[in-house]
Order: sequence, then structure tokens, then C-alpha cells
Amino acid sequence: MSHFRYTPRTFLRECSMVLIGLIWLIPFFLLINISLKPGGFEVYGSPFQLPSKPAFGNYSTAWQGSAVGSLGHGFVSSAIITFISVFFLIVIGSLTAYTIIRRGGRGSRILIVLFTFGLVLPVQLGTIPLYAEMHELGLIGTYSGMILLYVGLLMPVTVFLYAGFLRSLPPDYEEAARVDGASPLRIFFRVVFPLLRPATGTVAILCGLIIWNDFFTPLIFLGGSSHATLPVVIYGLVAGLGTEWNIIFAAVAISIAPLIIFFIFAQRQLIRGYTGGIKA
Amino acid sequence: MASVTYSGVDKIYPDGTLAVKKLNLDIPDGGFTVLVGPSGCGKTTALRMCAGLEQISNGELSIGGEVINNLDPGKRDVAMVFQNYALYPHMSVFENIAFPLRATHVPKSEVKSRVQRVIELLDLRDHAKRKPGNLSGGQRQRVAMGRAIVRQPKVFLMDEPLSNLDAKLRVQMRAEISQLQQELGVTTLYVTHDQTEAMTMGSQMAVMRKGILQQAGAPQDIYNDPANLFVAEFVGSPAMTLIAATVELTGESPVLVIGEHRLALAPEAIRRHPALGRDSGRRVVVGLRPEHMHPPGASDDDRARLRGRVALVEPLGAQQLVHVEIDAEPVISDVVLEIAGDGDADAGRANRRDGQGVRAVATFDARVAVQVGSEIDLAIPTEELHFFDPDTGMSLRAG
Repeated sequence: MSHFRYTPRTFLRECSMVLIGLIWLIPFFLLINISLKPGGFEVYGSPFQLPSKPAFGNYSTAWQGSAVGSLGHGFVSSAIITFISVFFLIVIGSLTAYTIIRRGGRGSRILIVLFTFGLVLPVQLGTIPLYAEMHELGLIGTYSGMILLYVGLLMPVTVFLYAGFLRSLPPDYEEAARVDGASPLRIFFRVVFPLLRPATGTVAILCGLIIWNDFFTPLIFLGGSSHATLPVVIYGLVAGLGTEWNIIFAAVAISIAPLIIFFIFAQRQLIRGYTGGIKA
Repeated sequence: MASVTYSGVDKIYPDGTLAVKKLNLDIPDGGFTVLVGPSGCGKTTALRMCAGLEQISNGELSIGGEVINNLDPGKRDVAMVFQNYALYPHMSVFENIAFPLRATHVPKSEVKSRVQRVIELLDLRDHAKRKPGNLSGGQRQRVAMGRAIVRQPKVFLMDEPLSNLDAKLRVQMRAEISQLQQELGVTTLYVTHDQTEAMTMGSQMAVMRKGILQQAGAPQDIYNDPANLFVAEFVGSPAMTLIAATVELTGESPVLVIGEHRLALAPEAIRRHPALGRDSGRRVVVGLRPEHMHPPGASDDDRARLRGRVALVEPLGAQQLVHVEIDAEPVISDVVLEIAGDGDADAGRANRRDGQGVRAVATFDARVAVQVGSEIDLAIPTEELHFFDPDTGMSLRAG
């Protein structure tokens, strides 16, 4: 009895899938490969050529960061801004969408249209007035200003995602809770919010990635402060002449490490969040 | 516990749809009332108004004498079982049952003891920690009941709670709910489209159609004395056979003319329906219950008879359903067709086939030999017939 679990057909299919999967790994290979090159001419050689001697020291050099700040500092800034922004986006966005969808009527329809406008208008259009206004309020170069900005900018997409999910959520659970004597806030936080988990997962990942990776907004609104985020700190490593790309690649590798670790551990949960409905 | 009273209650939706019209219904303290009717008849809306999930447009709804039109659902002290149970999917069985108590800030220790008691009562001990998604239909149904019971409310509201169960489980749960209601003695309003549930479960049955209450009373009284054609056809399975007929007043007693058949009406039939003895040539709709059409050779030979051809025999074990094509005029008046068509769809179709003639469904003892295709005489006890006005659809019964 053979233990080979494939038929020729499934074996071929599996092999081709592994090959396709490998294509996705190429950028990661290039990133790590270049980050370990010792510098000098080797960095400008073929990106696929392995380093003559892996220079692990690049990582400690990268950790020192740039004139803008250390990589550790950038990490802390990025984490504070990302986590707090996502927290407020989830709390405010879910409550807003719940109210809009369950209340119905003309006011709700108008609000949905307004949020849709927010979805399609490019942020860059509003940069100058936003900057002027935030400068006036003393919010430039502060965590609170950055968080406020992100919560505002990403609220339309958050409300949009929650609203779509809420439309398909049968109102029976809320009605049962109302008859059971629960207050509106209890109904929302104990009954509705846990049922919104797939949407919450999507919002957290989508908005979290946008904020974590964003370069433009923190460059403008945090410029010159001690709160520079990771992309800005890494950009500080780019010099006019003689940029050390191996160091920059090492910095990039460090900056995406937490995200990759998060995905590895949470992937099952995330996939379930994206694909799963509600099991009654 | 408390009585529930609907006094002239209307429900008009913003788009103008009239879902419930002038509903007057009294559910006595501790009583079990079943609201029954076809889909869209307004029965669920009536129930949801009592729960506070629908605004009442006009009229008054009171529980225990207190008008509750504008009271929040949570303050009405009612518990509701939903059609799909609406169990919170992210909570365990224990947490689901405890939810109404926690929502109303019952002390922790009391929550635990009360939930435990309900779990014991409903035989859910082994499932207390499981989530609803891992339970069978019957277990979910029990959890939903538990969530209602644990509050010890004044009124139970149940919205087709058995419709998602398979036939066998439905019969079992039907009995369990009835028994539980009798033990707890809580006033119950139960909505269903299943007339078997309506007949067997409630002490009172209320039949609705197009938002209007057609008849309310003890289930057996409604079965014996339906107020109109709709109730007559809706209540009872198989449904009542409806035939167009004429009453002639010649000779000693009035005669019912059905196609070629002439049936002398028993004095009891005239006593119950005095209108029949007034005008000769009056058009009526005659209703025959399946159990009132007897096989040939039954003891009393003087009974009126209807002759027909056996089209189909459905054996049911102890009994058999015999479909007999009778050469008679089907009921075709617009009002009657519309009313009857609203009822049990299958029965409605069986009664009005495309060709001439009427298909009557009779229940015979299984031991009676019946051949498909053969001619058969049905003995009809005319005192058991139901008579309706073909124009209004109302029963002609006196009183």
C-alpha cells in the first residue's frame, strides 16, 4: 500500500501552486539578500547574487536610524499612532455605521452619501487647508494631531465597511435583546459588536496597514518633530549621494517584521474573519 | 402574570400598508392564545406590537390593565421566542439564558441559581457551556425557551417557534411547550401558520386574514362553527370541501340541490340555519368536513347521498383519505374564490379543479375497501353541513 497521497493530477497541481507561491517570496528574498550585503560595489551588483560574507552588522547600523531619529523611536511612534487610531476608528466607526443603518430615513441616507464623498476625495487635495487648520490648533508634530487626522481620514472607509456588514446582519438579535430589557449601549457592545467581528478584523487590518505604511501624511504633519514614524525615519537614511541601500533594506526588513509575525500567528483568524459569516 | 387586551389596534406602515385593522382580542390571565393565519395576515405584526417592536398606529394595547402603547420593550415584562430563536451566537447556552437577567441588573448569585434551575428544567445540563452553533434544532429551541422562562415574565410571546424543526421534533416540542405553559401558567400569545398547532396547543384560537381578525374562540368551537368561508377552509386538515348549491322549498322539507343530486335537509340543519327555510332558489355554499362523508353501507340508509368517482386514495394507517370527484358546481363567486384561495392552498386547489365538478376529500376507516376509478355513494348527514352566503362568504348559522 502506497503512502503517496497525490494522484498525478493533484501532484502537478500542488507543484504548480508551490511554484506560484515562490514568486511571492522573491521580493522577500531580495530584501533580505540585499540587507545582508557588506556594502560597496556588491550592493550594486545582481540583486540575486548572495553576499560574499553576510553582514549582520547592517541591522545594528540600521537600528541606529537616521538624523530624524532611531528606528526604535520610529517603531514606538508608528505603534502609538497606529494602535490608538485603529482603536478609535473601530469604536467610533462601528457605532456610527450602526446608528446610520438601523435608524434609516433621510438623515441616514444623506450621511451615507457624505461618507461616500469622503471615500472618493483624495487626501492630498485637502493637505494645505488641513495643515493650516491643525497648525492653528497646535496639533502639528503631536501624536494627538496625527491620530485625529487618521481617524478623520479613514472614517469613511471604516463606516463603509461596517455599514455593508450591518446591512446583512438580521435585526433579530437586537430585537431579542431589546425585549430582554437591555439598554441601547449594552445591546451594541454585548450583542452587536461581537457579531461584527469579521468587519472589525477587516477594518483593523486595512486601516492598520494604511497607517503603518503611510509616508506622506507623517512627513508633512510630523515633520521636524521627535515623533517621526518608521517610513519617515527610514527615508532619513536616504542621502543625496552615497546612499547605503544595504542599510536601508535592513531597516525595511526590521520595520515589516512585526507585521509578518502578526500575519503568521493570526492568519487563520484573519481568513476566518474575511470569509466567515455568522453562525447562529 | 396578566391578561393582554388589544382594543381596536391598527398597524399602518409609513408606506400606507394596513397590516392590522381594528384588532380586538382578549387573552385571559394564564391563557394560551394562538394567532393563526396565512403568511401576510398580520399575526406576527400583532405579536410584535405586543412586544414593543412595532409602533401601534391606533387603538390601545394593555397588559394587566395597564396601557403599554408607548412603553419600551424591555419595560413591558414580556419574553419573546423568535422564529429563528435569535440566540446570541457568541455566547454560551448559560450566557444566553443569563442575558435577560444581567441586562436588568439581577444580582450575580441570583443569576447563577435562576439560570441553573432553568437549565435543569429544560434538560440542558450537558450543553451549558456550548455555543448555539453547536446545538441541534431542538436544543436551540429549548435554549430560546429558557431565555424566555428565566425572566419569569408576565407574558410569553412566541413567533412560529417550531417552524424550523423537522416534523417529528415539532410534534415533540409542541407537547413540551404546551406542558411547560400549563406548569408555569404564564399568559401566552403564540403565532403560527400551522393550523394543527393552533388546534392542539391553545385554549383560545384567533384566526386572522389580511390584517383582520376573522374569529376567536375555543379551537373546537371554531372548527365546529366557522364564522366564514375563510375560517372554514383554513381550519381543519384535510380542508372542508366547498360546493355551490341551491335550496328549494318544495314538499315537506327544504331540499339542497347539488348538481344532479337532491338532498333533503334534516330539521336540525334548518334549525341551525334558519335562513335556509326562507326563500326558495337561494344560492348557498355548502361545506362538508371530511369526517362527515361516510362510506356506502353505513348503518342509516335514509341519509342523503352524493354520488361520485373515486379519483385517489391516500392510506394513512388507521384511516384513509378518499378523493371523490362529484358532479357538482364548484364555488366560483369572486368573493368566495378570493377568500378561500387565501386559506390552505392545497385544499383550495383540490376543491377547484379546472374541469367541471368538485373534488371532495373524505376520511374513511382504513378497513373500508375503496377502488380508484369506481363509482361511490357518500352518505351525508345534512345536519352536519355548513352553509355560507356566496356573496359575503359569511356563515348562515343562527346566533
